[in-house]
Amino acid sequence: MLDLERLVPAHVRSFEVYTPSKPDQELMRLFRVDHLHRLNNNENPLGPPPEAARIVQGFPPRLTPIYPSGDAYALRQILAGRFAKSPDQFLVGNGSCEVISSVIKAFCAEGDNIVTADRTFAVYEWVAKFSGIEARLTPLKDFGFDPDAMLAARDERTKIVFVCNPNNPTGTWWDTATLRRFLDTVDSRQIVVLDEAYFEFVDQIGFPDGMKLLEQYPNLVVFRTFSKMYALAALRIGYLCSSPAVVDIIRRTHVVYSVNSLAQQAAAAAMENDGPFIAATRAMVAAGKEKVLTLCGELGLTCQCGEGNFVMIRVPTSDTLLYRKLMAKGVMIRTMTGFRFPGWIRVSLAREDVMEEFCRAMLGVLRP
Amino acid sequence: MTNQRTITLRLHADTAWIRMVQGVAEQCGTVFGLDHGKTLRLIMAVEEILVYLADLTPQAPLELNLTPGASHVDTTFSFAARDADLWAMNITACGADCTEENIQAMGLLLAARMSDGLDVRRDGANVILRLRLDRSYPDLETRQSERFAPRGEVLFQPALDPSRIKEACALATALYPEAAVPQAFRTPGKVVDQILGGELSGAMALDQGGNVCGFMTWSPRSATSVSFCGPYVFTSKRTAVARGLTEHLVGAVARTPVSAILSQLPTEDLPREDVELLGTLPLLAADGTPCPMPIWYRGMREDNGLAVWTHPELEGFLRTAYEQLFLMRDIHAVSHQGEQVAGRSVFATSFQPEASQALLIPMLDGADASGTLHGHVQLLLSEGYRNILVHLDLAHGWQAALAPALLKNGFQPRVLLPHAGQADVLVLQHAGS
Repeated sequence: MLDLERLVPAHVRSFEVYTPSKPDQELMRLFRVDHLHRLNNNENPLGPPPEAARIVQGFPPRLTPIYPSGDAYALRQILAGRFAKSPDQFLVGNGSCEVISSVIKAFCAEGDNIVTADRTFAVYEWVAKFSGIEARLTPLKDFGFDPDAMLAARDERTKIVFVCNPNNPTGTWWDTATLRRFLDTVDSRQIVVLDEAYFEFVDQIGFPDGMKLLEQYPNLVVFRTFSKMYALAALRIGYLCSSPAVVDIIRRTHVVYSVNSLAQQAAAAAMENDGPFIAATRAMVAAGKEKVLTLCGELGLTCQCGEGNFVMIRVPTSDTLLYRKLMAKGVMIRTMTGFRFPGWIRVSLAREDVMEEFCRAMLGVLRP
Repeated sequence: MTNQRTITLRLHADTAWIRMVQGVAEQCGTVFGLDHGKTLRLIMAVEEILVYLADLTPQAPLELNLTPGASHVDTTFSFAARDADLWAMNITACGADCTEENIQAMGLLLAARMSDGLDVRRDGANVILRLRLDRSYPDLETRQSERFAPRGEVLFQPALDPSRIKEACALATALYPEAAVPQAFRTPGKVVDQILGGELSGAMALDQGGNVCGFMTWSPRSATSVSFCGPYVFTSKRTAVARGLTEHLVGAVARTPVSAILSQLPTEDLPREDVELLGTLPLLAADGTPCPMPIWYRGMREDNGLAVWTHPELEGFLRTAYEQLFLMRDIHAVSHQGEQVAGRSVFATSFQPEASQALLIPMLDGADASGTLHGHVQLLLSEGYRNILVHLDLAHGWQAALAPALLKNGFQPRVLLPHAGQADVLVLQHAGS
């Protein structure tokens, strides 16, 4: 008789299964709508950049029987050229979830812990927990990461500190001075992961560029992704950059061949001429923020509007009820209860017509 | 994980083992903390059940487990049985018109009356019969209390301090109507044991002076839902404390498999803006006074639909309820196509005497469902129960198919509980109770 209680570790048994949302067609059928605007995953509706789109459209079937480059050789050359680094400083993964997993596996053993915030991208905490590693979570302060609390939460078994900059879902960010002070205090006693998934959306003086800090801080690991700004979420591709010594360690726990050929080629193409695409996306996001802020003013709602292609709104009802009511109007948002922000929603910023429909739907639900 | 203190006996359903089973029950009752009176009741109950099973499934392999819980001792009998055999598990199988054929059920009835809870679950071909004996706890001394002004900032934390849990129980009992406070709060030691034993969770509000400003408890209802009691607020600043307690509960279950929070005993302090009213059960107190019970719900994640079953006679009620709640469901209608319904129906019965409430849970469908329900209603009314409820788990078509039998026997659909079972649960109430 199969005895799962004996076979499965306690930390896996107690772990919550993540249930992804159903396909659009299924959701549209259930909610009886003829369209669905996905404003729940911070995707970029303008993408991918034209150069990447051409790669996707023209991917030759003759390449499908051939394994991809196991270590994304060509893409790492391009990344190295773009950021003036060695290709050996890059590790490409199947989305950021895989590189998070690789870093934790590389540095953490039973009894170790990681430190991060309690209301941030949940995958740091999830991966740590299902790996049997303690996740120490510090409260946000004014919606932002609290550097002092994070430093105080460390002990001799802390191996990694995760900082999401700008933070998902609050959009708050550390400026260069704050980040430097933090890194100086850590003083290489821990690995510091700086997750810059939304880096390309930020156009603020004083916003740090993790890539430029790597030479001074060999314990720093920078995460970037092609899922957000570059709109390649369906292809699942992200990367990390760090000192060669740190990357050499992480590479030992990393699955080779995890990133397919199409994703590697599309990612490389996306960076070829990304300036106009990034500018267009930033303009779309800025216009979307304006619309949401106006809506919140009209409805008297609090809006947490920071950097990134998303905003959070405090709603006067249960966020999960609002989700259902908006879905019935063909608009999908993210409820924030799972992020431990009950009563808040997160809205991805999209094209003008979609944001107008979102605003109409909110008005219809909250001021019928 | 298997409880390391569980005592397990593997035997056959044979009365020859009575003395051995009695001896084990006596020893376990003593070691697991039951007082003498409760231990005697445990001994008699397991004897009755063994006799009953020896008649129901003679010589069948049987597993008996005795497990200490936080505030009780659980005794389970696991065995395989044919559907037809199970009819005798109805608490009515030996009612006023008990026949020779049904005399075997008397043992079950006696065991139910000697225990603090008896329920029956079916898992494929296996049946698990669970008997609960609660430890005895001293009653709370009644006292008068008034709400006070908190000293400084009020903070919220898990309820883990036994002294403060007992203080909270006393304050809740003094400041809230009897019907809004769980029976266990009147024996606070039990609440302490339940919380420290992991059977119950609690949130507590404390001011800077260490005073208990509020309390709230919750426990699992199904694999994906919890039900709560409270919030109980002891300070004059009620709104903020109630909100803090409720948010603590939401935060505590936010990253767990829980999809729904449902009220069990809500108070007037519950922040209404963050919950949804599912409906109000028109319950009666034991003395017959109206005691309407609102049922509140809070979804914990994006609800993207479920498939549920319904009988055409309940479809209208369900569609209206789902529409009002904006819950999307694939509603499949059950229909009788002339197929034979095997065996006889079985309903497990769970009692809450202090609330004059009995809850029927369908275990097996059968052609005699209407008659079986009639028997249950008659028995429960004769025993003075004022509130008779039925829970139908809409994940199971055969439960939905019981609708005509329920309606014929005076039950009416009252409230839909999202995610309260394997799928949503429909609560029906006997109109004449």
